[in-house]
Order: sequence, then structure tokens, then C-alpha cells
Amino acid sequence: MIKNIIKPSTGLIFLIIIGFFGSRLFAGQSESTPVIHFDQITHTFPAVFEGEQLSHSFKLMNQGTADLEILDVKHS
Amino acid sequence: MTRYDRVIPPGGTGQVTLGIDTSRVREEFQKKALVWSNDPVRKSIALYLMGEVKPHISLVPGGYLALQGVKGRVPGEKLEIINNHKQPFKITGVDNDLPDHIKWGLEEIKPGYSYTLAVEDISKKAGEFSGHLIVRTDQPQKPEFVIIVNGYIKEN
Repeated sequence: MIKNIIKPSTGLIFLIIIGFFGSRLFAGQSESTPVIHFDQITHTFPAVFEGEQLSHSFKLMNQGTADLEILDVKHS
Repeated sequence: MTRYDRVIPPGGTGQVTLGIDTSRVREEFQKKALVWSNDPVRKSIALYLMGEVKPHISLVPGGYLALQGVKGRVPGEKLEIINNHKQPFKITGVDNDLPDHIKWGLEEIKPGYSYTLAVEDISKKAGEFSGHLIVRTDQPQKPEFVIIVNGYIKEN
């Protein structure tokens, strides 16, 4: 008698949990997001004399599924 | 100078270009820039530029001389002028805006690369003074530089 009561309710809880996480997983897969990735984040220049202009280009890749927008670059 | 690609499509590549004007940088440096994006996980990423900036000419121990003492017995001061380039240079002249207080002398230690500049007090009166020696060179990147001279001369 007790076993018959527990078994259906346990199965129901199991289905609810599966349904909840399944829907979350599905929602996560369909949501497109950008993913920023830099090959390197540091660069060391060779020694120079004062007054020289130095510049370096850091390469980046969008490894996500939506457009990556660079909003701002600030020196600190 | 900062340049960057504004929008990068999925799977695409772009670049962030950072620049440094080294005229205001001395010795070893590290500059940091923060890149802000719409990546929900990494909203900002720090980029670092490092390096070393050498002066064209070094003044040792520094570009400042202080003459202190009793009038007529003030110890002289000196500094070394060092050329950091491989090409030799010449000091072509020195302007002194304290002609009533100091006299200077230049000695070539290593021709083209190292000089010693010596300064002596010749003040006729006690008191304080402050001025400059403007040193001119034939080095195109550093045609002149300034040495500050301060005096604190006591009567006795």
C-alpha cells in the first residue's frame, strides 16, 4: 500500500526535475552570446629611446554565437 | 593612441591597437588598458604593454646642482653627462643665466660619450640664487637640456 503511494509520487518528482533542467539546458543552447578571446594580453617592447612612438595590436576573436561589440578601451 | 574594431561577428577576428608616446616615459614601464565588451561573462579584459625607455643623455647623479657654504669657501659641485647612443656627440655650448654667481667648466672624459661639468660659486655677496645651465649638443634627438643650479651662500 505504502509502496504504491511512494512510487507514483517519486516518478512525478523525477519528471519535474528532468523537465526543469532540460528546459534550462535547452534555453541555454538557444541563447546566442558573444565570447571575447585574446591570443595574448601582454606585450613587451624592446628598449627604445625617449620620444619614440610605440604601438602594438592585440588580436582578438569572437568565439561566441552573437556579434561581439567592443564598447570602450580605456587606459588606466 | 587607441584604435579598435567596434563589432566582430561570430567566429570573426579583430584587433585592439594601443600606442604609447615615450617622450613622457622614463625607464621601465607597464601600461594597462581595459577593454569593455558585451561579452556577458568577461565584460572587461586588461591588456598590458611593457618596455623600457632610455634617455638620450643621462645626467649622473642628476640634473640638479646645489652650492652651499660660506662665501669664498663654497665647495664646487659636478655631474657627469653621458651619451647613451652608439654614435658620439659633442657639447656645442653652455648658456649660463647666473653669470654673477657661478662659473662652469667642461671636461671630456671619454670623447664623444662622457663629459664632466663642474660648477663653482663666485658670488660676491651672501644669499640665495637659483638658475640654469642650458647645455647644447649636436645630437639631433636632444639638441639641448637644462641643469638647475641653486645656491645657498652664507656670510660667515
